[in-house]
Amino acid sequence: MFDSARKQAEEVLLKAGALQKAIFNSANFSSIATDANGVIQIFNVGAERMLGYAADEVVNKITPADISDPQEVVARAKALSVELDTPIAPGFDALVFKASRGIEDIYELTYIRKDGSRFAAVVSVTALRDAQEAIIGYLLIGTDNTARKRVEAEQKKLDQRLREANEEIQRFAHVVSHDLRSPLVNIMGFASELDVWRKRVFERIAALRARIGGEQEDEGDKALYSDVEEALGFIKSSVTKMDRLIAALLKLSREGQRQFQPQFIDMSQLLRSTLEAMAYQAQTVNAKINIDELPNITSDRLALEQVFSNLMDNAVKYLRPGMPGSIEVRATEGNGAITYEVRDNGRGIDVKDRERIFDLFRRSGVQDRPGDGIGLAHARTLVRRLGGSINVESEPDRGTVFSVTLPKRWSQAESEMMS
Amino acid sequence: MMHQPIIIAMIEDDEGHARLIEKNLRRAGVHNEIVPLADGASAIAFLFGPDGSGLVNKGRPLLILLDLNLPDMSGIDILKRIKENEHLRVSPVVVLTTTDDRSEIQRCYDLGCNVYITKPVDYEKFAHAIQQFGLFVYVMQVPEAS
Repeated sequence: MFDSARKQAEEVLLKAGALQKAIFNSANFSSIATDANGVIQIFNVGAERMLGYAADEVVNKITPADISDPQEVVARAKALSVELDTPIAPGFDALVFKASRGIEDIYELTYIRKDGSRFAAVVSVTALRDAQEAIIGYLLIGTDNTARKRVEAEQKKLDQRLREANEEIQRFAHVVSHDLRSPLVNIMGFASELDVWRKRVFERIAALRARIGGEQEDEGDKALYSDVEEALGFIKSSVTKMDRLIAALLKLSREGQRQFQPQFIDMSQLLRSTLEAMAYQAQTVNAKINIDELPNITSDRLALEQVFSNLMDNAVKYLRPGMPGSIEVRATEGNGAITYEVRDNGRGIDVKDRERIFDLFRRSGVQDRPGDGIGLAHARTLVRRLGGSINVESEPDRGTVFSVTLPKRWSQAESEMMS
Repeated sequence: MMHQPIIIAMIEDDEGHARLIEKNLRRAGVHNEIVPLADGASAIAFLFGPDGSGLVNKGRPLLILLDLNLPDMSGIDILKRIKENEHLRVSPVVVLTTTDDRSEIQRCYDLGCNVYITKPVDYEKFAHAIQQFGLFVYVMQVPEAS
């Protein structure tokens, strides 16, 4: 019922030519109809507007190939000849060959306007057939593709700039790491030499004192001796720390450059071997660690080892003294992503620190445990590069949950899109 | 005929490093002449001579200590030139640098460096590394530049 009613309505419209008229009068599409040889028969207002020709300048005079980029026409003829394994001449044929074989054909083409300027179009080609299915012409409907082309070009430029900026940062970190290290060798070297000379200087002072008959042990000498010792001690420990920080920066910059190798990973097994590596620490703080059966993932093994060993290490490191520790690892899956949770009952993280802890060299709470504030920064970098995210929930004196959400299947292309 | 003593060409832009290296070499009993070269240009001038051919060092047993991070050129380029030079390529090159990047190390050995030593910030290790190397210099035979 409904179908036949619609058919009727369609026929009415067609008969009246209302549909054709509406389509042909649209100024936003260039509609060009040709005869079977490609000679233009109809050139609508849209075509006039976009191409700058009046209809009577082109109708019965030229083919659409004459107003297309000749190099693109040649390239298209070549590509089609290969694709369809038959020689196709670089002219109008190249524009309509597929349509003439009944293959749906939409492609990008650069039209050349009357004034010589060019514009990018997306062209859809249909063969026009008579009642006996013989081809009597072609219809080429073109839409202006300039805006999209511009966006694409912009995007490409942005991508390129981003890539360059990234490379620049990597190079910078690398160079800085090495150039910062060089003076440290001197500071450490000469501080150590000074330490040796310090002993000798005071030996000589003692000897001189003995020679002039003074007291053997002078309180002033002793105080001076330990002052110098203390100062050198601070210099050396600071240099050692600086060296450690530089090494961490260097490691981060190298990690940033490392190509990930996606592979299938048994996550329960990965977490268990992480645990084995820290069994001793866990034992000394009396921690119970439970690892659920975890969903497997396709991702970079080394990166995940680093992320989870850092989270487990933190969980064990920041348990509350005198309170039996309990650490759990579990996971949930959905929407092509997996969220792994590392949950502890440790000392927790103050609300003001929950973003800060992911910053390089920043730490939370009482500074009574060893560390440089690098682990979580590193973990976040890795997780982000793997197309995921890392989050923290915590209650001070109750515990902390770190959740890492990762795509179930990581691939290079995906992460490039993300970056 | 007596063997000529080894001449150590020390290409090192950091005066402090140069001093610490020399000190520790002396402590290891190395009394050979050390020629300090503080940048790439003076290193090139010393090694290859005014005509750039390297002939200037013919007959001298050279041992080259090379830092990679020089202000005016990369130590890698100097290494390359040494190993491509018909007179100098037999002279042992010891890369002594702060860089411990694996690809950098690989690159140096690919280009024909003979030993690669990193300068640790930890001075005990630094001193130890240089002194060990000094003991090695003490016993090693170096061919004369051909």
